[in-house]
Amino acid sequence: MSALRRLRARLGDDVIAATVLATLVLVVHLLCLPSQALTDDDDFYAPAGIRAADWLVELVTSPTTALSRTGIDAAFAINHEHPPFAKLVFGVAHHLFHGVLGWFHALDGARTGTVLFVVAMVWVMVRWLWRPLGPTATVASVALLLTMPRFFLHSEVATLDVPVAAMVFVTAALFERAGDRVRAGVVVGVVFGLAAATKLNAPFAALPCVALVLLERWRAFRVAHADDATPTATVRLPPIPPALWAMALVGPVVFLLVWPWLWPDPLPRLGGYLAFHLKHYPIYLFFDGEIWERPFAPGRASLVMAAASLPLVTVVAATIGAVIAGRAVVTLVGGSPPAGDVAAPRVRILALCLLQAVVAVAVVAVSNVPRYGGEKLFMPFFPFAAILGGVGVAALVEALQRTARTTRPAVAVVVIALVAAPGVRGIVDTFGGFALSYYGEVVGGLRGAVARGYERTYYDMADKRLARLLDEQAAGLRVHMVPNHKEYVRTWRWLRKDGVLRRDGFIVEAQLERADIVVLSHERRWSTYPALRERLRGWTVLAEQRVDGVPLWTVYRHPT
Amino acid sequence: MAPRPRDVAVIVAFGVALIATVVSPWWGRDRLGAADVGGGARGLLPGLVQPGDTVLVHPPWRDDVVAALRAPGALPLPAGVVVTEAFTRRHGDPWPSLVVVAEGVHPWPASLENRRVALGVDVTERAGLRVFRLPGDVAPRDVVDVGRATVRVERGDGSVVACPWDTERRRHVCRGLGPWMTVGAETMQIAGQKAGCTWSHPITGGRLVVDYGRVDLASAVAFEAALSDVAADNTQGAPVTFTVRVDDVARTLTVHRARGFARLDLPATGTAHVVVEVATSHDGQRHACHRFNTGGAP
Repeated sequence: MSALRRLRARLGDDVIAATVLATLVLVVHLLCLPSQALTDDDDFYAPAGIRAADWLVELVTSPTTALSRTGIDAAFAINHEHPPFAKLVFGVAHHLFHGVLGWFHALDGARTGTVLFVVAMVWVMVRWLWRPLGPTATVASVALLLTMPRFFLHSEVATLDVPVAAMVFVTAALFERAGDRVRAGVVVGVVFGLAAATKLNAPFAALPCVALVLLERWRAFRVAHADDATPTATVRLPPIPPALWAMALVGPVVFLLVWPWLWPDPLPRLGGYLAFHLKHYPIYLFFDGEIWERPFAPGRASLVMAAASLPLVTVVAATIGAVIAGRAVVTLVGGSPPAGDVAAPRVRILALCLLQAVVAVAVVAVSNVPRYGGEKLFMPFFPFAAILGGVGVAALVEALQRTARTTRPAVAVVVIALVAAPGVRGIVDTFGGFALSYYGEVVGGLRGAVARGYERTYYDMADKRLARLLDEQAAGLRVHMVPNHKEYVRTWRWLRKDGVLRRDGFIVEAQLERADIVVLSHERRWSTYPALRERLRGWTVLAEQRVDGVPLWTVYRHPT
Repeated sequence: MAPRPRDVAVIVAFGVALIATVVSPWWGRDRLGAADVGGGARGLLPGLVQPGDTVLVHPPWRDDVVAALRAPGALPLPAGVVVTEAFTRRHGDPWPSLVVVAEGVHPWPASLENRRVALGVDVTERAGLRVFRLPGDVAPRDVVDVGRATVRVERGDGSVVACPWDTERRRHVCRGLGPWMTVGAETMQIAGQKAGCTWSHPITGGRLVVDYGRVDLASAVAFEAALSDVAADNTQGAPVTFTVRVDDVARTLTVHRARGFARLDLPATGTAHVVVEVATSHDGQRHACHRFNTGGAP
């Protein structure tokens, strides 16, 4: 027996495939990460994570100081409007990949934390899907997720969106696998608590889990009529999986334990956290040719962005997968046995993925919250959409094999390559900081989106091409960035710190009137954009970044 | 054995998606060069454009068309007409009058299309161009004209900063101060609704002075001032005091933690010199504005 066969026999194909694919994802992202642009959120979460990780060290070296109110506040006051789990991972990753191994600059070291979330998610995804859905759907799911251009960028920046997507995904997978086992259910509760400690939208992952249980076990509802033995009528509920109990009971405990900021004043600080998000300050969104602040942009903006930010082939694949998953829901509702037993794993997985995908977008679309930042608020949608897409691709492979009367695996390989190709092209075209300008063919690409009045980019700008260009052409000159200078320069500090920019390069100038060079980001959500565009028309254009002919930023030199 | 209909449907769906992916860049390309659009516009615009209109070149990446239309002698247009591809408007704000020049193949935003349909405006199509004019919203008659006001900031240390009128930004801009130190028309969220007023952000320890010069107060006028809802909700924010001087008579109005406009009735006095001064002890998030309305108490 060869070594590979022995390994397969020992570990199983799913473990080997999960490890291979997760390693591939790790390598790809670690190679690409140093070239990736900075977002303005990097500067919020990376420093918070590094400080939180320092606190972990303090906890070992001087626990009394670390656990004092002063010690906790010093470590966790920064960015306390968001819970700490992902930031702790960023901080530990920073210390490991930057401090210990020296592989990355300071910020990139922290950003490897996000990559670790993606790698864990892919590993779980393959383990979860391999047997119930088969290798084709599994590999296609990973391929589609990895080749979503915007998700690709989000996977390499220190923000909470991909981490919460990963945690929601792992929670859902473990929940489905747990069934009625108590110990597995407790694990689900712990992971759910960590997900809630990642970002505020994680708890909504419980809704599809509850819905799955209701769909599966609704027949077990019983009404016992009153009789001589029992004088009042009673309602008997279906058996509730231990995982749901654990999500409700263990999850909040883990949430509190993971977030030291809450410890000194649990209720006031928890109240402050919730109040901050319930009354979130408005953030501009440019949609349908209008700037939306208050009222918030319409709910359909989320639906449009969900479809428009994916390649058309992925949308078609996911739609076919959603139809198949819809049939699984029907099967679940109509076919579950009266005793409330669990259905086949494939049926449960498909139904749960559909429910999670729908809820992830619907929560943003129907709630009274500012809908900003394109797709970032419903990032948990994408892994589930990828799985639905993978199911659609598997349906295509089976259809082709039946039609051509072949069972050759090459059909699957070619089909997966073909459906992943548009996403790969999108990543290549927008790599290095322009992925948030990616729009799929559903809306005619970036040009169609901009013509329809959707925003061409967000998260401000700090791509390294622009940084190096300014280093070369603006050394010693005063540079001002519009329309949102104060946010842009916050992020640019990291480029200086990490050596991407020379320390004696250009001078950041707070006033446009005093600037020699002005960088205009063509973000139309700023009401000052038209006037700035007019003002700079007479200036000399030094450089311009266009994607598909659409300008994203322009560097102007003062005419005198 | 014939293929199953479901299999055929799946194969066709993916096939169409792949073909659409391949042809999408070709389909979305610009068909007309800047010179072609300029030529077409010369034939279509002169009879359509009215004084004060904005000619909006669509799609927004066609700055080459804007440059062609702006070239000296390229297009005879009434005075004050601006040709641009950079137009944005906040939802709920009044519409300016627009003349849209769009290449035929590209869609335009739903907000633009909804307004066109609501106004019953037809599109003229010729030589690959689509052109239409959307009249602007009619603004109520202003008692004061902020564009003709003289604005300055008197700082706490006694220095004075001039705030000249910026024609491009259509507001007074206090040079060298924070970007919020401007005075001009604004739409703000006040008492849960969009409201038009004159943005007049105070400065810590100093005074923003808006001198409207001689104003016709032949009828009673209400002076109103407010903080934006976000600013009014900020419990850390300081009070903002508006002082309205009508000739030698000064009246004050303070806005602080309450949403909505505070009101001061100014009696009819005939023509008078009107000055508004805005002050606060701390200017953090003091998004303040004021306006004059006809219909004050007599």
